[in-house]
Amino acid sequence: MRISLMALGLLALPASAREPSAPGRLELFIAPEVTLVGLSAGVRPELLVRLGGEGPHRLRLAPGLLVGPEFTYVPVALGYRASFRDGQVVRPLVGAGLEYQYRFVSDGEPARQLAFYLEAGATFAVSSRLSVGLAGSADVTFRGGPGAGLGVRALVGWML
Amino acid sequence: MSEPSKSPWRHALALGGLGLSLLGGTGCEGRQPQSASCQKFVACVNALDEARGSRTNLARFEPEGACWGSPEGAKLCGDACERGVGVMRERMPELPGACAP
Amino acid sequence: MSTRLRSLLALAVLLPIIARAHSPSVLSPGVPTVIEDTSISYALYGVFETGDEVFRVKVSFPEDFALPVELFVPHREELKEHRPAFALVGPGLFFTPTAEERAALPLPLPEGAGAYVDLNRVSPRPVFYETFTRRFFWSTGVVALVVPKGDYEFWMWSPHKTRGKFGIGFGVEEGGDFSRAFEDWSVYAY
Repeated sequence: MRISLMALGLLALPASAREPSAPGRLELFIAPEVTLVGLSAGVRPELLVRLGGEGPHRLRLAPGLLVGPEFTYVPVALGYRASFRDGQVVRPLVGAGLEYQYRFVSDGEPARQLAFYLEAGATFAVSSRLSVGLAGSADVTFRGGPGAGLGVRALVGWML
Repeated sequence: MSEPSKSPWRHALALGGLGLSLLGGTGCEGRQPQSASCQKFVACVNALDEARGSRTNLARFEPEGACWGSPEGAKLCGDACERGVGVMRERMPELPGACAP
Repeated sequence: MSTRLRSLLALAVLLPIIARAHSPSVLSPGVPTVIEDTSISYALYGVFETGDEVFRVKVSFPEDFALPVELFVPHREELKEHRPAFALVGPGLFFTPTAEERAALPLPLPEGAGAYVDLNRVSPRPVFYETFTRRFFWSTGVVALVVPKGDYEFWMWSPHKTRGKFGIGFGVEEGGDFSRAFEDWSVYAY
């Protein structure tokens, strides 16, 4: 519901905000994130590199620093993201990739895990370069012990 | 103006399928060798059984046991065996030679 | 968090790993929890609300058995001094508690019973990471215990009346009954 309202609000933006964006090769997102399994919150910059010109394909590199009540969490994700409806206000996104997950405490051995992740969400164009959005992700670890996680993050992006 | 992708949902479906197959195939890090501490623990308890005429179910700690199905289980059991032998040495008089350091 | 949301969250988290972990359950003080099948592993969680509680778990071993046991608390700053103790008590145990351990027990030791007592005084405290819930815990240190066949009880208490969550884990073999986790996710998680 909130997203729908947000979308309606964005549709009411001046025409200039909804104009198609110039297809910059790089996009930088600052993403406040909360992980729900292994509770932690922090920030996750994302660097997106457009692959092959004007299509939806992007390479995603996303390191992060999150702090929880039990540990500090440093993930680094490398993956693929498809961002659809380029040039439109509402742009759905899906992605998948690998994530290195490093969690540590002051008095014990750190936990190092490798996971597959999936993500889905949408961004909303605020101007030709600025966008905001919301994305959720799920992951399953395959190295460093079995487990699965969920995360939610807000996206504030700038086309470079 | 960039052209919207002609078939975005095809990409989404393919990606979703890939993801689901990855999620379904949670990797397995394979069996681990029995730890030296559990070799010691098993030998100690077997010797104790022999002296007492009993037979303790040690299956999980033995080389084919459930302990060695993953690195995490192997770590848990290895630590448990090490402390288990230590506790027996501290608290049980007249242990068989197999339990000695 | 609504029950539906918690269930959904638990389902999402636990389904992929359903056959690969301790069977979870929640302990209540004063009401002994009865474990029917000791051939699989368990992680039993409880909360010391006042610090005076004694949690009891009844287990029955149909044969002489050896299993890993440990008590743990979440690795959180506010639980730094929370060191619950546990004892495994029963008639056939080889272990005789020391006078200090006997004095620390929260209940009288039954006639003829032995007890393995861990007062949780180890320093530095062992830390482990639990991969399913993605959490760190302080542990008493896991120990493999030899238990002759018979009926036993685990007792868990808080010697210094500290309050907070704890868990006791024992066994290795995969269980897979996560149905109770859906109802009590907040106890397992946060």
